[in-house]
Formats: sequence, C-alpha cells, structure tokens
Amino acid sequence: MNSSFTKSQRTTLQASIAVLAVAAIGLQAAIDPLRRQPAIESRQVTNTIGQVGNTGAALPFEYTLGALAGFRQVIAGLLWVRSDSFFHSGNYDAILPLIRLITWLDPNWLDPYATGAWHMMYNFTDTDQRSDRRYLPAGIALLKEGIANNSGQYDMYKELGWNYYDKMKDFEHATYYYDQAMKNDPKFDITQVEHALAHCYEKTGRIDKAIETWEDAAKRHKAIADDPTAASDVKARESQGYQNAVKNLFIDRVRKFHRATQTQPPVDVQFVGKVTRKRPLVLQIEGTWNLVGAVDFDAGPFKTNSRPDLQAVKAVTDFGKGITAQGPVDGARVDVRLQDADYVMPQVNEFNFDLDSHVTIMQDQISTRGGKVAHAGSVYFWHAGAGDAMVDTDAQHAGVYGFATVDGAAPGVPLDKALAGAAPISAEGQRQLATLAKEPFDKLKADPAKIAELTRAGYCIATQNRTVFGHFSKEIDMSKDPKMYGFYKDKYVLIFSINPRSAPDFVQDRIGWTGNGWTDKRYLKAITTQPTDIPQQTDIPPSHWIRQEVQLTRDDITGNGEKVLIDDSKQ
Amino acid sequence: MGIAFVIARNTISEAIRRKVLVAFTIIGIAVIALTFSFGQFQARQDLTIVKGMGLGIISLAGLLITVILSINLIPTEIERRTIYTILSKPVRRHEFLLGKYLGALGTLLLNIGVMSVIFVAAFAVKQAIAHPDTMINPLSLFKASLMIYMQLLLLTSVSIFFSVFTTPLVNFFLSFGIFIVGNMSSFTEDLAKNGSNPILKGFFLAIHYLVPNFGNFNYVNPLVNPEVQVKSEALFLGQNCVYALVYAAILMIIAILAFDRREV
Repeated sequence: MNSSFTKSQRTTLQASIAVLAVAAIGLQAAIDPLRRQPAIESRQVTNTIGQVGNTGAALPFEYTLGALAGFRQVIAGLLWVRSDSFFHSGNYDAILPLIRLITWLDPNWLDPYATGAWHMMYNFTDTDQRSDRRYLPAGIALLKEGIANNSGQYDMYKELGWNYYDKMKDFEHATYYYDQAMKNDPKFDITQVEHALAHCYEKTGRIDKAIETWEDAAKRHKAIADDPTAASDVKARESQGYQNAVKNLFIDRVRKFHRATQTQPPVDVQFVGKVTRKRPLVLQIEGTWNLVGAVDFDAGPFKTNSRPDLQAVKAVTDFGKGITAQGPVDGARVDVRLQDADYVMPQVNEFNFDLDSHVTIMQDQISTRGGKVAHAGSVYFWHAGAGDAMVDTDAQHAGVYGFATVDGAAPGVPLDKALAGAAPISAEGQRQLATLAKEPFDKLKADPAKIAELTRAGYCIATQNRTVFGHFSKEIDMSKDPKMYGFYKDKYVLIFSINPRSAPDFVQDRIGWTGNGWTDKRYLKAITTQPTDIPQQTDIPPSHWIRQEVQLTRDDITGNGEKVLIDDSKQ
Repeated sequence: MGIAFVIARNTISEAIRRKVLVAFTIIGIAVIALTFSFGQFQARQDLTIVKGMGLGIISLAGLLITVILSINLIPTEIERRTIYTILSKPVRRHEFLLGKYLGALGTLLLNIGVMSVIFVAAFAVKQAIAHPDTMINPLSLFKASLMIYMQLLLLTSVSIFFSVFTTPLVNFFLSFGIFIVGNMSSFTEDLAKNGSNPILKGFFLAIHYLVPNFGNFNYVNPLVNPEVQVKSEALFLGQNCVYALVYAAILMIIAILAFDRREV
C-alpha cells in the first residue's frame, strides 16, 4: 500500500507527536493543582477514593460512579430527603451515616454539616432530654470538616462558634471561630456573627472589646441601611440590627460602669451539696447556696426604647445608680456532671460517628430557687397558709420577700402593729413601704386606710434577720437509659459547678462577669482556660467558679438501697 | 483541507439523518425538562438539583452520542465499501479521516449546543420566576457545556483512533474503558503520589499522564454551588481546552499515520 506521505512528512508528523506529548504532559501537570482545589473537585470524594493503605476506598463504587457521572449533588439531594424522613420519624441513629455520605458527595453544601452537627450536639438524648455528650467531639469534627471544605464562607465558622457558645459554654473557642468568620468572609452576616462575637467578649470578661465590637457592628449596619442601592428588606433588617447593636452598646457601658464597684464586697456563697442514691442508678441531687443578684436596677435617665443613635449612646455619662436593691434571686443553675474518673474530652480530627460505648457521661442543670431574706426593720410578706409565699412584681423590685409557715415562725410583726410601735422600721423598710404604697412614707403613716390595706395583703416588718438560701433539687434517673449510662468503669467523679460566665445578667450585676464578686471558703476555684488547638487569647481574665468534685465508685451509683453519698451540710 | 470540510459537512448531514442520535438528543432534552419538576420535590434548593441534573444529563447524553457516532464512522464506510469510492477520488486518506473527525465534532456541537441552549434558557426562566432573589448569570452555565464539549472532543479522537485498528464492538468497550479510567485522574494522581511501591508509583504516574484525563473537564461543582470561589478560573478552563486539542491532535496524527498504511 503506497503512503500518501513522503518520508520527510512522516518524520515530521512523528516528531510532532513527541512534541505534542511533552506539551500534553506539561499541561496536565499545570492543570492538576488547579483541578484539586475544593471549589472544583470534591476533596472528600478524592480523599476517599484515593486513600491507600489500611483505610482503602471508603465510598462505595456505585456512589463513586454516580459522582463521576456528574450526579453527585443529585444523589446527595436524594439522600438528604431520606435523612429528613428519618429525623421526622425519630430514627436519629440512621441519620449519621447519611450525613457522612452527603458531605462526601457534596462537601460544598452547608446544610448537612450544620444539621448533622445539630443532631449530634442536641438531639441524641436520654429519656429525660439530657444530651448524650459522647457525640459532642464528633459534632465538632464534622463542623471543622465543613470549615476545611468551605473556608471562604462564614457559615461553618458561625455554626461552630454557636455550638461552642451554647452547648459547650466554651467561650474561648466560640470567640475564635466567630472572629475567623469575620476574617475569612467579608460578606458575613453582622447580626449572626459580629453580635455573637460581642457576646463572647462579654462572657469572657473582655468588656472593652465587647463595646468596641458593638460600635463596629452598629457602623456596619448603618452603612448598609443608608446605602441607597440596598433592597428595602435589607435596609429594614440592617436598621433593626443597628438598633440592637446600639442598645447592647448602651447596656455594656452601663454594666462596665457599675460592675467596677458594685461587685464588692464579695458575696459568700456558702455552697452545700448533697447526693443521695435512692435506688440503683437513681440519684437525688440537691443543695443550697446564697444566690444573690440585683433585684432592682437603675440605668439612668437615658432610654433606649425610642430609636437611639450611636453617637447619643456614646455620649451618655449618667448611668444612674445601678443596683438599687439586691438580694436572693431565682434562676441561676448549678451544673451537675457525673463521668468516668479518667474521662477527658477527646480531640477528634476526623468526623466519625462511632461511639465509645464504654464511656459514661451524664450532665444536667438544676435551677436554684426560693432564696429569701428579711433584715430587721425591713418589710417582708407573710403567707399564713400552706405552700410558698408569692410576692407581686412591685414588691420583688422593692426587695420584699415572701415567707410562709414552711420557713418557720414569722420573723416579725404585721405592719399595722409595727407602725403602732411594736417594731422599728429601718430606712430600707421605709423605702420599701413607700414603693408598695406608692406614696411617701410620712404620708403613709397618716393614712390608716392604706396601712390597713397593706396589712390585710400580708405585709409585715421583720424584728430579726432571717435568710433562706436558694435551693436546688432534682432526681436524676439513669436507669431508663442503660445504653447511655453503662457504668463500665470502677471510678467516677461527680462535679457540681457554677460558672459565673453563664449566670443571668441580674446575678452578674452583683458578682461580675467572671465571678470576682463572690467567694466560698471551700469551693471557689479560679479557672484560666487556654485551649491548645487555637491561638492563645492572653487577655482573658480568669473566671472564679464555684466547683466541687466528689469521687464515687461504681457501687456507690449502682448499689441497692438508699444511701447518702455526699452531705456537705454536715461538714 | 477544503475536501476535509466537505467530508465533514456530509458526515454531519448523515449523522442528523441517523434517528438514534436524534433520539438521544430528544431524550436528553425531555429528561432535562423533567428535572424542572423534580426540583419541587427535593428538600434542597430547587436550582441546585436542576443545575446538577441538567448538566449531568447533557454530559451523559453527549457521551452516548459521541461513542455511538464515532465508533461507526470509519468501519461503516469500510463495510459498505463506500470508502473505495471516496478514496478513488483525489481524496487523500488523512483528509478523509480528518473530515470524519471534524464531522463528528460538528454533530456533537449541534447536539450539545441544542441541549445546552434549551437547558440554560429554561433555567433562566425558572430562576427569574421562582428565585428572583438569588439569581446567578445563567450564561455562566455554558462554561460547563464548554468543558463537556471539550471532554467529548477528546473522547471522539479516542474512538476514531481505535476505529482505525479495531472492530466497533471492541472499540465501544475500549473507548468506555479509557473514559472511565480517564475520569479517575485524581485517583491515579493520588496513587502515584502516595503509594509505597516505586514500581506501582511509576505505573500510576504513567497512567496519569499517558491516559487522557477526562476528569479535568468536570466543572459542575462551581456552577451548582456558585458561592464557592474558584482560583484562576479562566486559566483552568483555557488550559483544559488546550489540553483537549493537543491530546486530540496526538491521537489523530497517530490515527492518520496508521490509516495511511492500512489495507482497506
């Protein structure tokens, strides 16, 4: 067969093949790094199918084929619908493998990371809705994976920051991730991110930074709200955000002013804890402590109810009197945690929903209620019948507490008798009466009808000091969830703790952001948290916790019969 | 080269007359239309599923059209003996082969083009009606169409290359096999980098650079997830286009040299 090419033409064509082959290899080498960027190629898919050694290819071949055919987002979507149906039917265990597959197939889809982490952090619970804290490391690992695959978007940083803030009460990590959200994505949502960052600064006692952040947030909101090209719904949202930022700025300025002085002298907490085993795996946990907070607060004449302006708030110098009445309050919670004595929360680098079933952790929060005080010469409310005494809002704000027969004998005399000379009325008592009567004390003394009305209502004057500490009590029944509470180890530790950073605002008004305003001769612990997996934040003041640790054995918890395991009140 | 274009034009008109190729195109368009109703049933945002499925269907339909068209281009002419008539004219063998190749590319351009235009237009309408607040530029979807076309341009050259040596049936499996291996370019790259055995590493390195890398052209994710940032997008797309053309040139030159010597 004769060729249509001459010899030199053939040689030229053969040489061009070689040249083109070199060019092709060079081009492929140049394309490879660009192709491997997460935006173009799913890192999870390539990591999975490219793994060598022990782990091998983790993604089933058919999903790989589907992925190669360009349908991976479709498959991910179908799996998501399936996982949603599992959620609605309460089958949470079935969701996690699907979350794993979905995030492999479509690692740029943010919802599965956020929802998967939410399931692990909040929805795996025991019968009494206590979280299974063995899942928390996996939830964090999943969100970190979401960050690694979507590092240019604020959403995953925000999700992780929120989980650290709300679930873990780890405000150092929360601060770091919210800060990273702002740094890595200039289009971050100001309300969801910067407001949260300001709250993180508040929680960690860095009030100056919090104030700076609120100011910055207000300016950003205003810039968008004033932008003539912004859509009307965006303007409305940013205007609202501006109002919130300015109001919070004002609140922080007020608190900074007053907490500098009004958190001293420290309140002696006198924490007492008691743990009784009622029956196997059922513990009655109770105790008392002197929970004191601001009962009434004066923030000065400046009102933020109208639409405050940033400059106006920054110019405020009159912050009012601050705490005008303080005393026992309700609501702060005692954290109770029972765990293996050697348990340390693992740092998980890769998302894995396999649990170590031999770990036992139980954590709960118990509200403290019922604290009350009457000082000699001050007003109290007396309830002669059964049950607790309830006082109305005006009386609460005046620092008037209710006593009943359950609290023992009445600590004083009825108001009319006191005014007739049976008991002296202190300056505090006179102020309280003026508040209750809504007229000056001198006018009240000459108003027998009013006196009779208040006496009939139950108001009295104390002739002695009487204090009842706030009480917390809860039965924790772990027998209903044997898979969660296996108690495989021999030794356990039960920890009572009260974190000042998580205390309500009205309590922090008295004890400060970091608990510098309380003390306890046995259980006060200064805690400085320096996580090792994020850059150190050296400006965080130590927080002063109330913390008691008690060592228990398995037999203490699982043994038969009733037994008092700890009783501080006897010490 | 003028003769090659004449042959290309004839190839295109022959291909259009072949009902199976038209059927694939119509089925592709129908399934794309169907995805617009699927979107309403998904928990995930409609448009993401529509984009992913639409582009995937164009890719799949294009793949089937390419392989079925290309594996039969040369063998059909030889079987029917029409090649003698063509080559007895002053048509040189390389002009014939090039003409067939260009004709296949033209047919592909028509099919991919029609499906893409209909898809992008439907997407633009759906986006404007259902999601006016999250609009992306629908013309950006043509980037994926371009990459699909360049991928299939390369696959066409593979099929025509094999058609010079093998029967259509063997060519079918070889072309599909090369396509699948070529889509695993990340896999072969990882094995070449991470393997412990130097012989195996060398083997996978050779596979990675010698087998055409069809995986380069998978550009669906940045379009389905527009919030992700792609670094050096224009460079990436440009390099892929040049890669496809260079590799196709290599295969066509080898095919031409082999066909030139072949007894028909």
